Amino acid sequence: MKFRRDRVVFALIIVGFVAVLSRAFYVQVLQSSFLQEEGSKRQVRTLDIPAPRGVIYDRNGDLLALSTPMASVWVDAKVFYGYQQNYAQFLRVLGISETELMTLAHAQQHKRLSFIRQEPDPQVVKAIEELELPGIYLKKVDLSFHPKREDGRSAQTITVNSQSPSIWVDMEQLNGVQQAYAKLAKLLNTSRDKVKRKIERASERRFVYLQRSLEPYVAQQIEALDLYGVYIQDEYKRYYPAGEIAGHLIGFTNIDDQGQEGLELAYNDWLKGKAGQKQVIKDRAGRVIDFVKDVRPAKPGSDITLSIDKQIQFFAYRALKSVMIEHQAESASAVVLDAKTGEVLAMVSLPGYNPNDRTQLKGRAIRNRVITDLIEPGSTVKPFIVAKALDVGAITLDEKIDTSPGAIRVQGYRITDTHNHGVLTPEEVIQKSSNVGASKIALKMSAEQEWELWKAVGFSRDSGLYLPGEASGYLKPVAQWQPLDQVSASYGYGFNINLLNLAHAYLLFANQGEMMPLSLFKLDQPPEKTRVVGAQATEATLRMMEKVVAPGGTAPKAQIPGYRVAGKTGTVHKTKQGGYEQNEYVSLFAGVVPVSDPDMVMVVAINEPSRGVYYGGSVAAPVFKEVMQHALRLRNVPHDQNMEER
Amino acid sequence: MLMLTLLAIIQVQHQIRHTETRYYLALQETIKAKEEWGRLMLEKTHLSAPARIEHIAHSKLKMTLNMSQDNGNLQTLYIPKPLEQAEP
Repeated sequence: MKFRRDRVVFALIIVGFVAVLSRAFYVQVLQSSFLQEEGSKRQVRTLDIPAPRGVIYDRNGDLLALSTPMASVWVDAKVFYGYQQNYAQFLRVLGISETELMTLAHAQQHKRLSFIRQEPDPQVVKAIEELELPGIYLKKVDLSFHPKREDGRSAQTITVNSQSPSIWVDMEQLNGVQQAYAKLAKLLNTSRDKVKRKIERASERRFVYLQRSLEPYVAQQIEALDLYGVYIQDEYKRYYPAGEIAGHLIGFTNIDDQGQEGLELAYNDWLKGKAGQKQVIKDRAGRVIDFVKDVRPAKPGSDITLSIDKQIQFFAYRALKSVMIEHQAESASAVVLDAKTGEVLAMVSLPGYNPNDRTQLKGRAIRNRVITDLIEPGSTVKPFIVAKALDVGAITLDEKIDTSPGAIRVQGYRITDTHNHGVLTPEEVIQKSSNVGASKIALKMSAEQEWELWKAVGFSRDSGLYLPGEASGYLKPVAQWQPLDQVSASYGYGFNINLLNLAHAYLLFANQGEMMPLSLFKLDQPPEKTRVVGAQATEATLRMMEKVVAPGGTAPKAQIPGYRVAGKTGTVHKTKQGGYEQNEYVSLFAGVVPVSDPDMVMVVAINEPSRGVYYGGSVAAPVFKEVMQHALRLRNVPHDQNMEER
Repeated sequence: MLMLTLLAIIQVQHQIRHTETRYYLALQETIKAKEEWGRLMLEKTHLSAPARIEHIAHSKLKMTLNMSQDNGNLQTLYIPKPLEQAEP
């Protein structure tokens, strides 16, 4: 058999093609997914897309908390610092300054690259090779070119030969290294040395925040610098337009947008968004060059509409602040509730802080005293005992209660009034705030009956609002109750509650003896009520509480022209280890307005007024009047009394 | 018939791609608009902050908080209840 040459060649070509095709088939079809994966691993990166937190609104749709886009600058310090060192080394090896390098590069540009010089010394060449700087190339070429000069004239011809390696630089790429500290410092508004020190100190770390919470436009400028190892991270920053006014209630987030206090903490899971993911292609220096796709879009957090009325909150804040200054008080707090629905309209605690200012977010000012501080409610609970006693029939409306000589002895303890009030009716017991009278009324009931009352109005538990840091009320078990407990509880000592508990309890008087749970969120429909005390007894007690505010009562300063006000003052000795402080008080006032059709309940507590005046009627009652006056107007509550009366 | 189906598939895929792009563009626009809204709302709340308004009312408009009837800052008018009309 004779081989024809052309057949052989043809066969060989075919064999070659088959080899190529089979390899192509192997790579393109059989191994394609594996290879693509490996390729992607090297350049496709998944980045997080930050999601904003939900917005917090007040009941009228005013903003209380909002997330706005911000950016952080971080550096891969190891890479960044390495490039800086290598670039300095490069200049040292060449023995020229940066300016000289740039002049040369400008003068001898050929297309994208600029010729610097030919380097015959192999040691220098090796040193430059080892630096591995982007934008610096060593070539062996024969070439002659006319560099373009900026003035347009043609310069001298430059000839490069291939006998020794020539050094070329890409000016655009070098830009990512040159003057990096200074460029960053200028945009970040600090000094070059500060930036340099910060990066040098962290030079082994792969992730260092240079600055957080930057305005987006500054971040854009930094991104445009295209520096190696410098990255921008989009994020959101929380703003609190209400500032100090609603600081305690709303709380705040930390710099990573996680709730730390108040509602931001309590409802963190609801408010926080779910970060999305996107895929991008990055180059060798880690810069994003192309966007591939959104893997998962960012899901913003859910919004919250609170029951708070920002305006009432503001007036409460302002009134408390001026009282705190006037009476040099240690702290002050107040709660306003919607009498019909149990919604919290305002909750203020002072001293306050501005949640927008990170330096203020520590220390004792961040405590929301409305819920964290336990107090003994003192005389403010006397109306409850009267209502309950009327309801169970222990007393009648015109019962004669003899309080002389202004003191009684129970189990060896002396309970006193400020002075001898003589024989009092239940109405006068409330109006004159007689401890002896309240004690005697309490003793007409059984311990169980009284204990049931305190439990039913919520003095033995927390408020149910899930606010962080809440101290819950405590009541001794009824089995441990002795007559002394019964008596002291009747005028508000011997058990601890927070101010919100007290405000909640006062809903009883605003709803004819019925109560409903509190709510921090705006309700669409009124909540279900549960009966605690009979309607008749509560209404009668409410009329008695009106006398407290009338001339001759303890709080005429709580009168509001045009409205009937019912309330009760309290002046409580502060507890200390093993007893009570002689000269430190909490001044309290709790009130319901207007009496004919209650719209709001407000409770005020001023802690340690230290200007000599400390009675609840003189310190706390004016706050009630001031705030309620504005709130009644804001809520368009009709007058139930002529202004000219009184 | 087969040709037609193939062409139709291509056409539909093309439309899907178009719609997707439009969707993402719209999404971006929403995000941008939301951010702008946030900025404007912050500005609004800043400008309408009660403390700021009170300050301006005091200093520029010389308004006062004294609401007594005596110095004429406040006037209360009572509208008498309309007489119930007998039904015809």
